[in-house]
Amino acid sequence: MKKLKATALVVILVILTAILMSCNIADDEVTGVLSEAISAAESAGYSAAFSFTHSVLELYPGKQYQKYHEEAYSTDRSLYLYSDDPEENRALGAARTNWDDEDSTEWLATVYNYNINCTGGEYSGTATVTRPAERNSMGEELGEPVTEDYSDIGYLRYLYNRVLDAGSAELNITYQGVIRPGKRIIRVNIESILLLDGTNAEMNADGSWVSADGTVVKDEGAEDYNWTAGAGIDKVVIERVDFTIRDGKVTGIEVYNEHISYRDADQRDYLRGGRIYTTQKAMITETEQAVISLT
Amino acid sequence: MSTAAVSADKTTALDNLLDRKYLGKKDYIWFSLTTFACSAITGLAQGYLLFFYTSIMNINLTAVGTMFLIAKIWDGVNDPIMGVIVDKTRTKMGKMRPYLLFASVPYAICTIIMFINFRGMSEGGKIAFMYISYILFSTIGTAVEVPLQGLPAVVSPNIDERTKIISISRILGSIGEQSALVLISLGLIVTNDNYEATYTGTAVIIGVIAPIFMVISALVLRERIEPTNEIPKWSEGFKYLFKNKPFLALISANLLTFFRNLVSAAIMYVVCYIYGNGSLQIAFALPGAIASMIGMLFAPKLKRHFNAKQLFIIATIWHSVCLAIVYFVGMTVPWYVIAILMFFTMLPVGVLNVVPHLMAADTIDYWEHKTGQRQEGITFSLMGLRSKVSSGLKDYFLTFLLGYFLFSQPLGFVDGHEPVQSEYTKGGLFAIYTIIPAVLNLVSIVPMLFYNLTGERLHTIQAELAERHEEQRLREEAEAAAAERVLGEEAAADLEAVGVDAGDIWSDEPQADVMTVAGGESDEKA
Repeated sequence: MKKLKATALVVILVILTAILMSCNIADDEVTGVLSEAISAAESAGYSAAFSFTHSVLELYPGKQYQKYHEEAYSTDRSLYLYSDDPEENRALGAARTNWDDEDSTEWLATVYNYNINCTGGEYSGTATVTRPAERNSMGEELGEPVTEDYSDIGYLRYLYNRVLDAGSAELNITYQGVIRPGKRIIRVNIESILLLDGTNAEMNADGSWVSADGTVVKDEGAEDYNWTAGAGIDKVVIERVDFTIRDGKVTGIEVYNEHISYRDADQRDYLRGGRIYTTQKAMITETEQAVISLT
Repeated sequence: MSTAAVSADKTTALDNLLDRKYLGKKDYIWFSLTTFACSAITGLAQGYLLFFYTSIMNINLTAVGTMFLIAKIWDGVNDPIMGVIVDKTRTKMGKMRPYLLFASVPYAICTIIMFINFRGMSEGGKIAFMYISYILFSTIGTAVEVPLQGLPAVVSPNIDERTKIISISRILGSIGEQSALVLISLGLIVTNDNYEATYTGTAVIIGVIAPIFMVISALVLRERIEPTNEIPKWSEGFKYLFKNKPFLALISANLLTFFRNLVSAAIMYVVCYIYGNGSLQIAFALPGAIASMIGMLFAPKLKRHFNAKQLFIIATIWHSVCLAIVYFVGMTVPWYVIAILMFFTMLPVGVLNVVPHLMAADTIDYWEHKTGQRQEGITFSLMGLRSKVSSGLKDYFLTFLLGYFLFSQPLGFVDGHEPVQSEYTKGGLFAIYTIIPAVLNLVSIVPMLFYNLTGERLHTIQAELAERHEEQRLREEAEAAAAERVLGEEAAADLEAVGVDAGDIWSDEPQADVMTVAGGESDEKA
């Protein structure tokens, strides 16, 4: 009886392992599956009406100065910085910059609306772009949002080329393919680093990133970046594109990109009674998003 | 008198024994306050120690994580050891109360010390301090918590009273867990956001009040079911689990309830990534917590209509059906609809929090009836260990599910990073919150089907045990009286030998030393 139970347990474990392993597409097959699914979708033809939203974090310096000026003068002992001298705190407190402050920052979205047809690999259709109204330093709108025609309708073709462009050292592309009931999902993650001098860092074989002059801007195996090394990093772009594949064809695409920059922000010092000082932090300053259904 | 009449009289007498009330208001009050205090300490340590170590003491996150892992493994070892120690203890106070009495003050001192940031220590010194203080805290905590959890099983043999004291104390315990949150929130206001002073102050407040409750409780409560004569061996810790079949069924069923814990663990993911607002966490968690408390409150009433096994099964099915309804309602409805539905979903969870403890007490009775040994210490230490293993399994399973649904992890170097999740992932997160625990939760019913301490069988066991305890009490009283008589006669003979009349010294009959075996109401008056 004990032997029977042990055998049953082993069989169950083997079956479970087999099921779990069959949930993944083998690493060396993922790009092939994706490439074929894109080609199959283009050959079969499809229509796609979707929005691509590019949001940028804006800081209104006038509005922020006014806020911190009032805050610094409203109390004798500001939480800002370490000094107990109210005058010193007022001067420093009012002048501080904080990209983390929701009151004086705003996400402004530019929306691209596409209506695309793909027949035999040829793209046609229309696109418009809606840009947000301009703001002054207090964050007040200076006009109205503007919508105009957008001539470039090649976004999807650009996307396909980008996710399959694994040869460039400026892009670190990784793939994850899974099999789920009724579909396959291939996730493409792309990492790139734009430096302040306008060039892109390149990734070495060991996983570290270097600028053209050899400065290491990201160490091997590190999670964070060396933001101020060399000329400094302007932004790190992390792109995530999910392709849903049914019957061998791409039927859905989800894009979510984040641009991360190093900006001035508040930091609390818990060793000094939770007082606030300004430091630089990595934060999301731009996002790009689209949910696309190919029909 | 006929045989049937004698049998009926005996049954009535046994029923009277089982219905006898033992606990007074002060027992309920002090035991519940002790549970409150103990939970306050646990809530403080579990909720705020990580932040204290990393942000206030500036200890490296990896070092803190490693220490917690080692402490958890040590916890798994010391729980059963403490259980056996408790069961081997024989004192006049009983086997649980001495630990509550003598370990509570060191426990509180450790709590306070843990939250003091001693200045001038090197990085290595801080890490050493963290290891010593936390592992000491954890070990002494086990010495308090194992006996505390076992106390309801010995303070009264009456099942209704046990149900009531467990239910009330668990409600107070749930509130106690949140007391650190309240104190810290107030402290930050009072100290103008001074985190270090607030954390240390909170630990001092809890550390001063908690042992007061614990010590009073240890002095007020009485262990009315005496330890059995046979002292268990060290090797019996885990063997007991497999020998006591109803307990094995109970702990297996209880272990599998870790699927249920996915619901509360998934709240954070649901509010952050589906509803895009992390501050909604309280709106989701609070109704569930209140519902759970209401469930605990009604557990004693429900226990009168259903046996513990039925309650476990009914509550599990109720919880699963409600979760399935929430799943089919979908995640596109406004968040408050889900929060309201979750209130009804969490009602049976309160019952499920109480019932296993009642059943554990029943398995102790069963074991005593079968072997003559009562092993509250081992039973409740294994229950505690089960809870920790369940928590680990829940974390592991949650991690697996997040990976399965392609969850995008936040970037560690971006403060408060909450990446937008794909539609597939959002659907998966909602499934982790609803339909997955709904289905898998039902698995916990399977071992429960093998649990057979119900109905007439349990009644017979408990009636016979009550009879045994009563006989033992009468025997010990008689022995004590006889011993007193012998002593009195010897003393009188001695006095006569020196020419003094004993009647001049004793004007009243000598009082028997009342033992605390099933003492009943008379104990209470005494």
